[in-house]
Amino acid sequence: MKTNRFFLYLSWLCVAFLFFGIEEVQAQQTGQIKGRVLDEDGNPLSGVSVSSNGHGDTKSTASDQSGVFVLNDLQVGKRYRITFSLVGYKNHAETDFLVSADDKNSLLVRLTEQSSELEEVVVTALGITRASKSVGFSVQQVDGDRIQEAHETNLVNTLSGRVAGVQITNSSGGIGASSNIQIRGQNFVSGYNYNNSPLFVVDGIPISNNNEQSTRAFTGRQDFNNPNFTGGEGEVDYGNAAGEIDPNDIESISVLKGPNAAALYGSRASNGVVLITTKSGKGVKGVGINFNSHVDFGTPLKLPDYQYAYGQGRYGVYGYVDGMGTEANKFDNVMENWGPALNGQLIKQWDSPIDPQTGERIATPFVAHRNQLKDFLETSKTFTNSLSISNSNDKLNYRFSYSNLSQSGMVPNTDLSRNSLGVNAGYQIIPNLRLDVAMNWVNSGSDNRASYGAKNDESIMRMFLYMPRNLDVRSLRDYWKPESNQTEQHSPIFNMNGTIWNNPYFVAYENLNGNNRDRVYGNVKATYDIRPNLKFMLRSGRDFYNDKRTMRHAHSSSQYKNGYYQEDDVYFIETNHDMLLSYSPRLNSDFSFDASLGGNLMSQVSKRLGAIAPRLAIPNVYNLTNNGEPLLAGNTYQEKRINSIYGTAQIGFREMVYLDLTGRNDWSSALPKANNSYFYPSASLSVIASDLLGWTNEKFNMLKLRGAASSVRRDLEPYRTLPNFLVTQGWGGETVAIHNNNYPNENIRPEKVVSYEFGFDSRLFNNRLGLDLTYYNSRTTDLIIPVTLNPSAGYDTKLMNVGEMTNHGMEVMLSGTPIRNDNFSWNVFVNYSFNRNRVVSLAEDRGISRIRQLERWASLELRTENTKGDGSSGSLYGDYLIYDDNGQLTHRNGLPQEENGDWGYLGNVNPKWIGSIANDFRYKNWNLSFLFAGQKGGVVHSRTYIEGVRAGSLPESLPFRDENGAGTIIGEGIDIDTGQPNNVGISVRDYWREYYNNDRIATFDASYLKLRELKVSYRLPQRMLQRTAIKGASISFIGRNLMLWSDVPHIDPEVSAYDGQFVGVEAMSLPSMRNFGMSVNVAF
Amino acid sequence: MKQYLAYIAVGVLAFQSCNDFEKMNIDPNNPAVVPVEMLLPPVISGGVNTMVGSGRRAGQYVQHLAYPGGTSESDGRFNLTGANWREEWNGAVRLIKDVNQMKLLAEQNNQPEYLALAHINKVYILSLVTDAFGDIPYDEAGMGNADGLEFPKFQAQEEVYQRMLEDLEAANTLLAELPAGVSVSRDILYNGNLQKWRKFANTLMIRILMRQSAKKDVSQQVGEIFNNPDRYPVFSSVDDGATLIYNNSSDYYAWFIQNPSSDGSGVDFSDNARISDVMVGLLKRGSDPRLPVYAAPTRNSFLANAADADKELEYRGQTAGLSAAEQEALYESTGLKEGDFSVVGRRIRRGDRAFLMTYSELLLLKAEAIQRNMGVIGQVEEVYRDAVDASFDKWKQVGSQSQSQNPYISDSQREAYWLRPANKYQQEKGLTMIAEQYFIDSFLNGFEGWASWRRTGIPEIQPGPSVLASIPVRYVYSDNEQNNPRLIEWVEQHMGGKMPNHNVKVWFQP
Repeated sequence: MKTNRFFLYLSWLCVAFLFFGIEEVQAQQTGQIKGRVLDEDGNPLSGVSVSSNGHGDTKSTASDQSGVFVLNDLQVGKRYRITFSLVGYKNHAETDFLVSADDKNSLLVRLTEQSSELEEVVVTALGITRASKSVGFSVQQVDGDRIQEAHETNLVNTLSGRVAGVQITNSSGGIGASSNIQIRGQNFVSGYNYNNSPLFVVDGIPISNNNEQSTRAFTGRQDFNNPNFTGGEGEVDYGNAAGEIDPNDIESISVLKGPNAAALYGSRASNGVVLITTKSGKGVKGVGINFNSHVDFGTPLKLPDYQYAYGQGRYGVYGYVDGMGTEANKFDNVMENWGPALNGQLIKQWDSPIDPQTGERIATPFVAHRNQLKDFLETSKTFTNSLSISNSNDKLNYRFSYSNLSQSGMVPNTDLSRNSLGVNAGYQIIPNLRLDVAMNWVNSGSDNRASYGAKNDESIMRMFLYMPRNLDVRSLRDYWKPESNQTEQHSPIFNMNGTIWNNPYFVAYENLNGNNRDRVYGNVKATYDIRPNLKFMLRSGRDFYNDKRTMRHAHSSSQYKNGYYQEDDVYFIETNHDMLLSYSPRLNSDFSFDASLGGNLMSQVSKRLGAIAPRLAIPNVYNLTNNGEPLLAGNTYQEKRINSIYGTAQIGFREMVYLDLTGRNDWSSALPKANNSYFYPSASLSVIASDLLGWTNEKFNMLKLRGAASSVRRDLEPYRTLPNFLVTQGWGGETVAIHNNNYPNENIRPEKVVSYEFGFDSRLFNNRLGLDLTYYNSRTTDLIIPVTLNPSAGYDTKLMNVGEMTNHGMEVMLSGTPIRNDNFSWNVFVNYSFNRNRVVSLAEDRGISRIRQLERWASLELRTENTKGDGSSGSLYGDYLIYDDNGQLTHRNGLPQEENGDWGYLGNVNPKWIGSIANDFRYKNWNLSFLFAGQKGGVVHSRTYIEGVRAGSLPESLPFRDENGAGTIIGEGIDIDTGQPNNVGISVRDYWREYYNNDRIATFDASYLKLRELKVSYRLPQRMLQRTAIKGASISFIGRNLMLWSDVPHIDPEVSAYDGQFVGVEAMSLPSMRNFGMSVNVAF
Repeated sequence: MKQYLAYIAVGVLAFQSCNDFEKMNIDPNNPAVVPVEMLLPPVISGGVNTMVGSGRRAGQYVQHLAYPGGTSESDGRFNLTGANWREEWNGAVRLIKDVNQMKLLAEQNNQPEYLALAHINKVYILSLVTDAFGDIPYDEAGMGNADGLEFPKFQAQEEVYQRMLEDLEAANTLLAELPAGVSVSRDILYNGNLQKWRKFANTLMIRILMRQSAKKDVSQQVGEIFNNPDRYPVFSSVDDGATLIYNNSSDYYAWFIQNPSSDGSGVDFSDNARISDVMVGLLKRGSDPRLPVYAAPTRNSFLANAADADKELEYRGQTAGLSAAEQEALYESTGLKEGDFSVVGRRIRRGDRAFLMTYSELLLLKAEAIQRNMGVIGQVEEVYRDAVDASFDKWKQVGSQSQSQNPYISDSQREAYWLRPANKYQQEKGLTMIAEQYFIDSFLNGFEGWASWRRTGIPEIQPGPSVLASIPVRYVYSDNEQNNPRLIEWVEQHMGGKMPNHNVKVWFQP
């Protein structure tokens, strides 16, 4: 066992250092410094970290509630540098403080509030907290408070609109739905997580943001690069892994946007890093108890605007016979609303009573039942309660937290529950050795998650799109057909060997997609001060989860007429061992120097075990041994390791110029031996130009210039270097083999991104106006692409290093304080960013000019500029109506003609820009804030639109229908063969169905604006609480996604199909949610 | 300080010590090599699925089947583009990569029997493809794994047929030279009987040769095969026919068999796939016992008969290619209803059989060759009668089930058939009779029926009154293939730069 050997080395090293440590501790006459820290108004400041530097030793402590601190064990007669720091305040240092033998060593220090954000500290790579001004690349930090107050169940959504250049796309309003996050556009093409997610790091340890789906064809991962993305389509969204981190535990989130971050975190960080620091109890004096309770109600933000003028049927004709289409021209088995007008005329319907005398149905009025979907959906309710206990002293800090979330979804019988338990503690074991432990256990589960998909008969939105408009949803409530002994669902369109329209209640209560997931992530860290300026850190961290999933489909379900049961076991573990040696000598007053040398061992294992009973022997008994035909079972195992060494050095000059250099070398197990070692360097420079040039004054507070360059390489998933056979159950349950459809490459090289960025950060007018701007540019070469081959080549894809792609863009952050006085303040924050991508080349000389990334009706492709489209990633292609040169629609035999052999360019799913504006108003203890976020440009393709119009269910299908529901159209335009005006009449239904049967017609400008957040909070005044045990209390009301402005019909343009993976395509996911919530926060 | 550095160096080495990465990157789930026979079932069944799928597509063009007006715009009324034949192309040509792997493994393991089977399967699959699509890649098909062959070159149909005959010849030789007792495993078609595979190879040769016979004089080769049974053994009984027997879990009609309709008919009367009036007409004309096998009685007559056994079962075919309005008009003018037309019969649904190539087909081709004086020895009348009998014999009684439970053709029915003088071979219209029998025998093998119709023009079929194009004579390259640079090049050089549509004849069609 390699890991064991590694630990052996580690423990050996630890022992060795302990010896040195003991050697260092010498008996000396010691003294103490006692003092008090106050703010400018003379109020005591607690939690200020105080440390002494000098004479081979560093002592640290923190001030208590009355601002008092004590530093012990200092050498008498020596001079020390005493530093004071507290978040939100300027650092303060007392240099050359002489420790005298008596106990009169006292200090009174006043800290001034931070006036400039530049004095702020940010958490950067390797978890190093640094003064913001010294950072030469773009970092943006979001406060833990904001994250907690947003109360999103998916953490990723919280970042929406909060960070410039970060694009969040929420897949749906279903419980536990995924969110896609992308920073600075798409740099890569390969990877099973197509979504280009940044790396998530919690307290220094990378954690998974995988989107592990279960597919109905087999239990393996969904392969989005497979152009035959058909059989294995996911149906249920199990969420993105980073979404389930408890927001209540978060101290802050730092977003490192550029690939510079990768120079230290490795290639996985080349899409940026989301660094999460959790609360650790540091700085809390005395036992602090915090309780937060939140309740939240969700309703759909936007529902399709169905038509209620015509009911079920075709060509204006309808009559219920048996729901099987047995009788001609009754159209009782069509899932269409091209039937008669809903005028109250008497028609035999599914829920019409049966005359006991004749056995015939008695015709009932044919009327619309409006609000079908609204009557079905429920208000989603979320309750979150969290409790934390924390404390710290000079040796120990700890924080325990527990959160419980329980949610019921908009779709009846869907739910989610999540319990998170966290322990974060640190202990100064001996003066030189500190141990920190962070452990989180998250148990989340659902009894039922709603399923999605535009081809999935159990997708709620799809069922309602096809629902007969004359149907009263209440009549569907008893969803088993009477006397069918629970073997036949009760539905107006039901033929066991033909068409079945699923009863939505049947689906919601019988076809359950449950899961139960345990996740443990955390790390153990030992920090040893070898010398005052030399630190050694060892850390071991893990992210582990095991998800048990079950999928049931009851007998008589449309897609699974004889029932279905699947179990899926998803296992993932990532282990990281790190060591880091940091050296920060004091050179002289002009120069500072910090250097670190580190190593990392990363190993990732994922396993799948699953089995499917494709048919059940006894209806509705969900057990794998109740299989009506041979089980489909399988398992996969994947392992990958990356070993790395990295180093970083920072040189500072007079706290005005900082130069950072980093280098990292990786060895990846996923690459062929010849190419498995790769080095990547980075450099960044930060210059406080205002200080350097002496420009600083009251109006012009600060100007920082920064620039960075990096070169990053990136590997790929395991097992893509050697060809192999897929062994599966084939013919009659026998084991068979086929050659893997995705052909690997024995000579694959790591791909390379070279990027640079420039920017400045400026503060004006007494720090009341701040502007931060970054321009970046990156170029990816040697792209690892599973190149789409034509079917005649036999293989779906072939892995190659082809092509080159660039991204450039800009991020702007503007902050202002128009009003600021004692009682009232108004702050404005603006984020704006754009990204432009260009596919510079593929391998045209070898015939490769397009790469199909995803295809679901519309096809997402990479093409270079000299082919159709805009030559950038995110281009959608699809079929379209043929217009002649004069803009006339062409027809043949009266039907509009579409081109679907050679596809046309539909648009690009990436927005022209994204932006947000937040306003914060504070009046005494009241706080009001609102956040608008939106995007300009980009397209969204809507399957709801196409299917809905074609089914006659949306108002777009109404024109030309006559009073009976029939009608004829002579389409405007010409005959494609003769060039003469079209004069052939076609029935309204057939005409519109043809007219709307193409991808372009349902591709819309996705620009939108959302009132993302509105919040009112009130903090109880301190004097009211003085005689109570309560230290602080607040109450807040929050609304999220309250309003939407957009021109896209029927849907929220901010959606993505297939659990967030296919941004820009809407495929009948649940509508996004509008939330109203209230929370109470009490601290003891 | 030096000491520390030494320890750090040790630490760094610790990181390096687990560097047996190469082993780690060998996929533990999927082997690099498999026993060659494991590749056989997917290749065979994949090819057969392509053929079965043609039953509802080419089968509609040639009017084996017909759909009620308005329900099948694309196939019934020919509103077609390259997207329509996506699976027909993609599914079939993708199989060739596994055939190539079979060859590779067979050569590595020195197993010529599998090499022969690889040849035969490649020819069978690609013969379906070229019949339908015309020019295709043959030599370089399915070799995208090889450097530089990511986009295979296209070849003219005539050349493809030539290459196929060479491969079949090679297979025939390989199989002839095998030592006794050699067999193959996992053979879902012939259960390891290599003699039958050899017959299949040679019979396929006949099919391919006769396919070209309108464009090329093939009599010498046809005669060579038919007249040298020792060197070229061909099908000699119904049992030799290439017939894949499905099992229920992968059957086309599995769902149906699991949920039989409650009326006891054994069919789903509301199914849109109806038997065509052309087929019903031909069968009725000869009082053919295959009628109740192929077609179910109409729903109305079935129910009437169930209530009163004296009421006769009726069979009625659907006219192909009607629009919704035309269907409507038909209902009105005839007074017929939806329940007055025949869907596909219960024996077919329960039969679980896919006929890749039948003995009857071979005999009909032989009869044609004799009739056309291609130097084949034999009596055409006799061969014709044997051919029709062979077609009847595909539908023998299964177990003890009665004719109404599971229709079959009894000896007395066969005798009754031959008692009708019109059914006997008539020299003057021999070729028409042969082609008509070919059309009947190939029911649900849409590819074969359609190919024969394109070659002979028999039977005469009429498209619907207002179809959107004339009857397709070609499948259009899948839209997934159309961007293949080598295809674009081929079309540029050989087809005038225009991607052929479904009304452009392929080479073999006169």
